[in-house]
Amino acid sequence: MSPDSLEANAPFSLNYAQASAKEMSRERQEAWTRYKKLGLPNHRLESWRYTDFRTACSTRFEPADERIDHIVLDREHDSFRLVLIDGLLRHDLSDLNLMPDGVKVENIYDNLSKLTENYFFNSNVFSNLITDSIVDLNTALASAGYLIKIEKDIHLTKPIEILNVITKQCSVFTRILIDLSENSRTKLIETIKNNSSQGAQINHVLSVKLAQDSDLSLFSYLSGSGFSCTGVSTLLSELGRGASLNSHLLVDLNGFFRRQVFAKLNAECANITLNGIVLGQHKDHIDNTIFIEHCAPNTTSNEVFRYILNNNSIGVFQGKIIVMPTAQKSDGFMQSKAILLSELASMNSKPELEIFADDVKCSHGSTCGEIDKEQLFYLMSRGLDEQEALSLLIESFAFEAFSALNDDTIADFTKNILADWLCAERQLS
Amino acid sequence: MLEINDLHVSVGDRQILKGLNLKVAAGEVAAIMGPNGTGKSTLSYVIAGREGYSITRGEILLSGVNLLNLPPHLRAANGVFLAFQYPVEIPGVACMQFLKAAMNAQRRSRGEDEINTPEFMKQVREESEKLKINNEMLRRPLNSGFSGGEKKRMEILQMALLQPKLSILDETDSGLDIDALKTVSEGVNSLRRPDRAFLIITHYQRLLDYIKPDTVHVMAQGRIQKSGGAELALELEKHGYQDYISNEAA
Repeated sequence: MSPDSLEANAPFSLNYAQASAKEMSRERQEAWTRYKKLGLPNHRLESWRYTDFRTACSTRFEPADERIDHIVLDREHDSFRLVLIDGLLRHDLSDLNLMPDGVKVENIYDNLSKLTENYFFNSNVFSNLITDSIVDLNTALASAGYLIKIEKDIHLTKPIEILNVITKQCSVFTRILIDLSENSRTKLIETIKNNSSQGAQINHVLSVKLAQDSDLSLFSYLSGSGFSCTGVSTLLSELGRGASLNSHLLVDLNGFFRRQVFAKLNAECANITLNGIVLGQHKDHIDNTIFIEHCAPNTTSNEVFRYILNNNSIGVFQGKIIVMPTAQKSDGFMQSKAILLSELASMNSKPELEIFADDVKCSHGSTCGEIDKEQLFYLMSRGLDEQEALSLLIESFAFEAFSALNDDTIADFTKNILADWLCAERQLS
Repeated sequence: MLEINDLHVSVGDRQILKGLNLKVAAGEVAAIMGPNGTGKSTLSYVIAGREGYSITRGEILLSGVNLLNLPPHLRAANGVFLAFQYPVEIPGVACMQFLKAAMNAQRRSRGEDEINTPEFMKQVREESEKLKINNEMLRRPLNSGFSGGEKKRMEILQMALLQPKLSILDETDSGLDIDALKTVSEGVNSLRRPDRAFLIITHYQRLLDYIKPDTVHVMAQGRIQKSGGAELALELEKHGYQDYISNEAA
């Protein structure tokens, strides 16, 4: 498809019209132009070979109208929360006025002159890693963009929560930026919840900058009881000296979804952990694609993913660790394992290492298989019935990915989700 | 208590058990000895209910209940316990979590209340002390990275906590040093009671020096070839299994 015909089809042009009517920044215009040139990524791009997004998004939904519906949202976490409904911030449901000292929340479109310099601080930093239009599309179409800045030396104990809920058939573009100042520390819970019974599309970007010695614990939960959700959630993260990003992802979502991470370890002793549990069922297609660039000495990265795939679901794991010549003594580890609960489920795994320094430690591993029959018999011979034994094995398999999770509340939350999922799968089988 | 009648078992095209008969009374410790490849482990797996065996004829009764009609977990609830020759490693499942899950699962199957945590902890503490199992080992994932001796002691700990009617010990002595062999044997001996039976599968007399059997059965070529008292084991130690194999061949 030529760029011209793409433009003629005007994909998502209603979103663009709506978003640019409110704020027309140079960034928006430029990103829209770049997107129109590239179109949506398809399988011909190496990093999208297993996840053809153009095909999955062949029908495009319109943006949600801006009617304010009455909504009650239970609090799943004790947090300071920002609630986005169908792509727009809901003040009535958010804790904007309750944010603790040292935490500032800004609408990035309130001050367009600061947009590039202060807000889209890392869009260009990743240009060597990003070969597609997904982030540009987000920049062009974001209907809500908020920056959360944590001041120097602030240590928050109660987490900040971004709750991104879709209630009806629409396309949603949201941008959240987290700026952690020197030696600050916080927990962030990022939830995308699709409750639309007629499908939804979402492109969400979380952009994170961690200054020296700052520390972010991130829990991302992709969920929802709704019908098929097609989307991409992108995490862009830059880490300064001694900074630490500890990210845990739980995917329990119906649909065609990609979570992609671009991370740069820019200064010495920066450390990133990206772990994830993926629960796939029906015809779900769940992709985790990760690019980590070690740019400085003594930086470490760890990735541990577990996929549990039932029915016709498809899992994708692509991990690329790049170690630059300047990043001696770096340590990178990446592992993905999948259990296929059905003969029709499938897993695609592609680990890659690109190492340009000579004194580094980098390794990867990947496995895919069924439940171990010997383990199952052993547990049953001790009195556990088949479902109980299976649940125990699956739970323990999944939690291998969360062994570095230092948060009992999130661990319990995850255990409950997993138990509910296993219970539902039991009824299906 | 245990009664096996005319048991025929095959795996694929190969017939392994060819009309095996065996009776073990309550309170009895029965040893089964025999050469390699004669179907001893098959017998233990078939009693416990492992998949992959086709039972073409015969029955296995435990206190009158035909075990062959039950899935493995209900055999366990009915009192069958198999101490594995090679206990399976289950990374990610903590020992304590597993022990409690197993005890409660059996209780539930029998319609009993679940065990409360203090009582559970007390029982685990008492039994693990006897078997020289320390807390550090109990905190580790089940059998994961355990030495051969640790795995076997963990099997006996499970046996002590689950209190089965029939315990099958499949080559429990393999891979054990003298000290571990003594510890494990003491563990087994302390569980002997008039209402429990033991089936001890072994190649060697050595284990039977520590766990004195009431009866010894020689198994070869898929059948019990000869039964006798403890003295039969000594005789086997002296003459080997050659007689039984040639008998069959002839």
